[in-house]
Amino acid sequence: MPFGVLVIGPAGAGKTRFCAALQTYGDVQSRSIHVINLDPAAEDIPYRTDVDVREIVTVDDAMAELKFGPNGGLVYCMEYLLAHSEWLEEKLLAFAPEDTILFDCPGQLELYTHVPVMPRLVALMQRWDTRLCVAYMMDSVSLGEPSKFIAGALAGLSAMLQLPLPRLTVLSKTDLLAPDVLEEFLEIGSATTFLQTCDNRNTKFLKLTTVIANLLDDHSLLSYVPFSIHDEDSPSHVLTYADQLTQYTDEAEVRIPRDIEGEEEEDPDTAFKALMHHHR
Amino acid sequence: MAEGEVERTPGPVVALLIGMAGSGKSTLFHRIHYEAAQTGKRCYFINLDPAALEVPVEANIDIRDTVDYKGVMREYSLGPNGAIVTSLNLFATQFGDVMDILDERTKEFDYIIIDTPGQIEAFTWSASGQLIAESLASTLATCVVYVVDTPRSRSPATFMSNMVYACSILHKLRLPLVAAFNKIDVQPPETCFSWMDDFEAFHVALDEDDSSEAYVTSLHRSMSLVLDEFYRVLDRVAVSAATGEGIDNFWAKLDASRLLYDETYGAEIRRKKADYRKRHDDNVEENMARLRVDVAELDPDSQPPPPPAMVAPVSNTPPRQPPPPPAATKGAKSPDEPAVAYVRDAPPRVRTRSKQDTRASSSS
Repeated sequence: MPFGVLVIGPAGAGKTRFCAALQTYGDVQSRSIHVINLDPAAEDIPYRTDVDVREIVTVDDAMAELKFGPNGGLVYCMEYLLAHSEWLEEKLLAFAPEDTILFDCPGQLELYTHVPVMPRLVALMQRWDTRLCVAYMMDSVSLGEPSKFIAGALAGLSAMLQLPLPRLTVLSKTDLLAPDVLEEFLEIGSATTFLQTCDNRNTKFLKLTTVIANLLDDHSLLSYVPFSIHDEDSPSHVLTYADQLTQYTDEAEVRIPRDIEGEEEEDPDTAFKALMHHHR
Repeated sequence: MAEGEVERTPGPVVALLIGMAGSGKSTLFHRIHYEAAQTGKRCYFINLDPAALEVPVEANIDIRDTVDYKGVMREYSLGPNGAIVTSLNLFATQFGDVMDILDERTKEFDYIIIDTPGQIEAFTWSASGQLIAESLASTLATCVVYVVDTPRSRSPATFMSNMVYACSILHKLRLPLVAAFNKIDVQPPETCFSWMDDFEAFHVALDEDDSSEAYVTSLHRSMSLVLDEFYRVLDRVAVSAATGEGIDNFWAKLDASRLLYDETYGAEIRRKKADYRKRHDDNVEENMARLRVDVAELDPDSQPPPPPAMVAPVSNTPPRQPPPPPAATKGAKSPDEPAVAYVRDAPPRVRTRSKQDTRASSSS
């Protein structure tokens, strides 16, 4: 029963970099974090892929051989994956129960709504007893302008409405943001208040914007986690949130740190102490 | 707001066709072209989809004439998605020329119809898409036509996601939005319309929906109340790209959104332009004052008369700079800082790809 985080978001939001950073963090912390690439159109993947959908099908092949355009190719690939889900099941079964798996998903919204491949895939994985949550990557540049912020939040929402999973929004690329803007945003912690602090002269849509902000607040959709690949601490912050959502913390066995120096049997008590120390 | 107060933007209405992949944008584009020819509407057509395999329509400006999509894929070794975005970026660097063409010909047309790439994100979430939309909206009455796949929106959950995304586009581009419910020859739009008019009907539909993907929470219900507010600012029209049904309404909606543009985005643009001009004039004034002081210090005898005469033309020209130099036009037109910086940055990056260029610049 591995734990999974579906990483979704529009192209260029930083999904792939995010996965790479978390994997590196896992290596350092000797926590086993695997990445599965589900994007058949991905290029230049900077992380180790334990499972890669491109092993069975790629968009380039579909375009070349079946004369699809880029869209048709992508939909074909995802439907192919769904039709051959036993391949994925087999791969997932190979993981240890306490492993954490990141799914690097394709960004096209059509796969979540019009051709509901992703919701079906999620349903299947839940049947295989994988505990999932979804992390929506939102480019933090959108904090610069209230309307862009609402646009970003809604774009994520339209995909997440289709997925029956606990949600988490990751503000990516926070290193590109002025520190005070980010700090102020996180401190406010309320969309309504955030929008009030911004200059809002387009009164025609003001009422609509206010209603949306209220909704975001009411359903605490604003639990944003900042993330920057240049910040060493951010992977652990994100994982803390994700672990709560997937109940990783409750379920995981107390792991004995891997024996690096090659010592023989270790006393469980000292191992536990080491672990506590490590967590501190 | 009283009618007389709003300043009208002259020239044609620009309609950006945006929609999910497979919603029928290109077919609708084709249909509009055909109907326009039949009814004698004066339309101008622009295709921005670099990956369109076959646009049966002769577009007046076609991105495929400027950028070779397959070539971009090969040369930059990009995948299909990367190549679409790159093609659009390359085209965006030339968009000043497109604007010049449009400026020249505004009087000849009533409508400008623009088809966008199949992948919705490539336009709505890329800097170049934003830049293109903003350049258009800065001088012409622009609206977004969000093409909805009506048969697929039969499921309430899909319909909701679609509308939430439309709402997201409204906030992203801040332009008037017309939802065009396409493919009504296959699925009549009445169901969707009834959901839009009455959220209780939509709640009932959510409850009754028992398809396997259905997953309804209180969030969906709250969301539908929010959307109720959204429908108030949303204009809608039912069309069929296949049969041509509803296209006459479509024109009417474009005319209506021109009014909305003038009240919202247009007003904002005019305010920003006035701000810019004022700031610019102040600058000129300030520099002039400083110049006078400098000149006075240099040559106390023959001071004011000659310099102002020399400088005066400069202070007059900049405010109405637009037509001649393309680089300067953009600065004047688009008040959005990052978008402009982006254009300025883009060409060198493209150019360094060619070896001769780098060698030439290093030798000079």
